[in-house]
Amino acid sequence: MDSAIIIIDKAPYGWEDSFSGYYVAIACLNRDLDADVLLMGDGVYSALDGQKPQETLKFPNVGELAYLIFPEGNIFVHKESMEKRGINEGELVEAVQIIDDLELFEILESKTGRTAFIKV
Amino acid sequence: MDPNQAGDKKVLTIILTEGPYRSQHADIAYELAQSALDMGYGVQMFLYMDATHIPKKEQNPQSFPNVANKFRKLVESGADIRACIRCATARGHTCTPNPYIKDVRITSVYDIPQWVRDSHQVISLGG
Amino acid sequence: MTEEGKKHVVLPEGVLVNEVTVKEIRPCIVAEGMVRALLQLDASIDDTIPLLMSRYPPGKINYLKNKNILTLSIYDRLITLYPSGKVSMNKTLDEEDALKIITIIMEEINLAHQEQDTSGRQTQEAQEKISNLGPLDIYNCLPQTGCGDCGEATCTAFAMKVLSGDTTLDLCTPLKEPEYVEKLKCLEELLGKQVMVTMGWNPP
Repeated sequence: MDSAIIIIDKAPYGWEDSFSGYYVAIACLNRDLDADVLLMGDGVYSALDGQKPQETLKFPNVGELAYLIFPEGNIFVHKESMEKRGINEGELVEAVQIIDDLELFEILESKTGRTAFIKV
Repeated sequence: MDPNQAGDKKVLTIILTEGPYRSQHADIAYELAQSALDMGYGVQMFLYMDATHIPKKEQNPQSFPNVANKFRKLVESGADIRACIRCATARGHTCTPNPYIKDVRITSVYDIPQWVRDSHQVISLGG
Repeated sequence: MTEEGKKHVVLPEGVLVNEVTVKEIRPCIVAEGMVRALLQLDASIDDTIPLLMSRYPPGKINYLKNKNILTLSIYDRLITLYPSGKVSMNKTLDEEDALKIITIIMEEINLAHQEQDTSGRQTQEAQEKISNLGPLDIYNCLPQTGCGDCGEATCTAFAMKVLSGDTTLDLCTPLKEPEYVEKLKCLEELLGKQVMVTMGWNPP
């Protein structure tokens, strides 16, 4: 397989998954394997701007990890998941791209066959 | 290894993220892996986050099958099982010299891209 | 976001951007032993990004139109410019190297901003044209003598390299000859004066 897409559907800080998922993407890019991140469901919260977990939870800031991945990898945020949660584009970090269901289908279709789908 | 070469053994990679007993993902992974090994496929398993609890020695579940024993069988059948060092260390599994069942190695998340390259199929199991 | 990080006043006379803050230096994910710098300019560059594009060869640019995010593939690294003035730069030696390169980019940003004041709309139209260009468009406006003065085997090869930014227009000596003035006009109309300069044309 020659690329990976890491799917994150959990909110940050409540779960380790989004932080660790981003790390898998970073590890893939570090070893020259194309990798993108897809945030769906509660995973879209990972893309919120202005997160300050270092002061309260002493956790790393997951939102800022997007700037370590883009532009070498893409971070896609599922539009419907955002809308259901009342999140609008202006509230997200800049390094992410919002995709609707049709765009999501096109991305998944283009990746089927040679891409590892890793849901963390 | 280029997985496209005709005649090469096909390789399945399974990535686990959940710990044992609270969820059944480790058991499902065992069944999948054992079937694949029986059919002659190569199996690689990467244990990430809470899945680093799975291969811990000296587990003693009262009412459920012992998941470490299942994974012991997989290793004996030829599966390559590795655990993430960052996750294992966070959970206290690296403070003793041999925390895990035999031949389960503690490596790093950088194994994932290498394994993705080498595999014909990658499955992640978790909640 | 809190404004941590060291602030550097690199272009005190700059018309738009004067200062850059180094927010973070992290190990680079694509180059061992190098760093990724996350920087913040002291002004939004939302309006300037579309204008900045004509200052770089199309082959060196990756533009996300719906987000107005520009990634430049220059100085052996990827430099991503966000509308808010945030900048990320990979394959960088260290903080000093990051500051050196960002200062050059900031100068271009200020120049592009100045041009907006004078020729606004025209530059944006030119920008639209450029993003749709292919090597054949350039080739059609070349003298096509096959002389090899530019160092390429064919005029087609030269056209491709001009577009990707790997060679410069001024290496085409026939283009400077009076008999090919129509070709020169063709190029000027195709690219516009700014992009001609970007592609290495020195007006005689």
